[in-house]
Amino acid sequence: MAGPTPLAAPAAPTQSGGELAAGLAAGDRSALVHLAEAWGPRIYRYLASRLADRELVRDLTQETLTRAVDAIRRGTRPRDLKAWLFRIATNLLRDELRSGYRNRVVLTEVPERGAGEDTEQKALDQMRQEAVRQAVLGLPPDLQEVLTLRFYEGFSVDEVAAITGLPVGTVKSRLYRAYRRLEEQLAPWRHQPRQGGNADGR
Amino acid sequence: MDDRRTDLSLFRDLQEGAALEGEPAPTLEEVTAMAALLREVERPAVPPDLVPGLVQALSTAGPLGEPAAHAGGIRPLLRLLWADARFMPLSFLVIEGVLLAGAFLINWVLARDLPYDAGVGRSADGFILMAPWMGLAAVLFALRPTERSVWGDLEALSPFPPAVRLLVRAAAGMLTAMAGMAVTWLVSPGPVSLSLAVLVLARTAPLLMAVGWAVAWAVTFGPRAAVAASLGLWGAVTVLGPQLGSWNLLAVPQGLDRAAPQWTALALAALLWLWAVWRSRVLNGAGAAQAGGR
Repeated sequence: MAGPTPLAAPAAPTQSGGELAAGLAAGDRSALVHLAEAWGPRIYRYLASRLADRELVRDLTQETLTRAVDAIRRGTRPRDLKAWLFRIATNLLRDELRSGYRNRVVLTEVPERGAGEDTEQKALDQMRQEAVRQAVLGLPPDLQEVLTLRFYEGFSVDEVAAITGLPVGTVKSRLYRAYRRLEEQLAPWRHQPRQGGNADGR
Repeated sequence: MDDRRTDLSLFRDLQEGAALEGEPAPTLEEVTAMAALLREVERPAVPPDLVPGLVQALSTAGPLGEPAAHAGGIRPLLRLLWADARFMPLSFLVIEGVLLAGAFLINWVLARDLPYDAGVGRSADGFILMAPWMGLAAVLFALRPTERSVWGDLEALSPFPPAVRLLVRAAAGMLTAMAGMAVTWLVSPGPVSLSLAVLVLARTAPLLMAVGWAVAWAVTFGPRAAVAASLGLWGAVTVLGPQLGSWNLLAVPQGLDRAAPQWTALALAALLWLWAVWRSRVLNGAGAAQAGGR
């Protein structure tokens, strides 16, 4: 199976996982800076796509990297640093959701639009984007987890299985169920004409 | 081009997911249309002060190159046990429940006519005789590949060294079993008799010895060796026990003064536990020295 392409490319890690781990274990400060620069934003975006509280997202991002550094200092050498970091983040996220945080989750904020842009087409685009956002965030946590990792974070199904601890077949089933739910909810929007890509230019 | 490749990859995954669900697969055009919609969701913006904040937090979390010192005291140990309990999957609890029910059933069928104190002997037998198998199920479940990732994270991220974690978990399990027996004892009808005390000794001694045996092997040679050693010991005790006469560890002695096998088993259990604790301290010290030298 061809590997997926991440939709939002992170700052490209210039060090391999092994080199980075060795640097962190050796007390190399530049390795620590590299870890924060290369993986902090990506972990943040992943967590922020599931949780609304930005302060909590920041705390969990920090906790993810702190745990990773601690584990590496104690001798852990992850074979796949990327998947390992996301696994830590996913476990922290699950913990938050289990502790009732989901009750406080609200939909992510609507991006602000510049003045003078409220033409009919702009308004339609904004409505569609909001509908998609709500449909994704309205998925059950288990489906949302798989969809986010597979589609938005660009992991392969095998990698999602390794991160979540689920069998590969379960990941595929959940991905399919997430697709069907979104298809039902977004049917009215699927063939609406759009003005252009989103703000990222995609 | 990248989007096209991503869509194709997603389409294949969805095809396989649909097959697993026994439902019709979407077409490539449908998947492409859905993917285009999903791409419209803007990724959350990263605050500009995130990376500097992370670097500062990671820098001040502890000096690099030194092992993270874990706090002492009972509270961190309780947190360790609580973390374990929260991540126990339902299937594991079901397996343990089935084993426990089996313990009662086997005991009720095989031992109901034994002259133990009313009801209590059966419960004690059921718990104690099945305890090693429950423990083995716990270890085997932890070694299952599908669970390894989640448990592996817990293990890797724990501030406690592996030997300490093992000892704490074993001690907690043992104390739970002992507490269960004590409750059974307390709620038993009538006054506590000497024969009941002998029975409890007869069942406690092999339990403590079996746990000490497993822990000593695990600390020294790892969990797989402990599983094999436990299977060997308990299998031998079960199969060969009746041929040992009064030294059958599973037999109930006629009185406390005739309980030499049980007292010996308790002494052996104490030695095994002391060995395990000493061994874990040695390993912990060696690990800390190794980490400190990095």
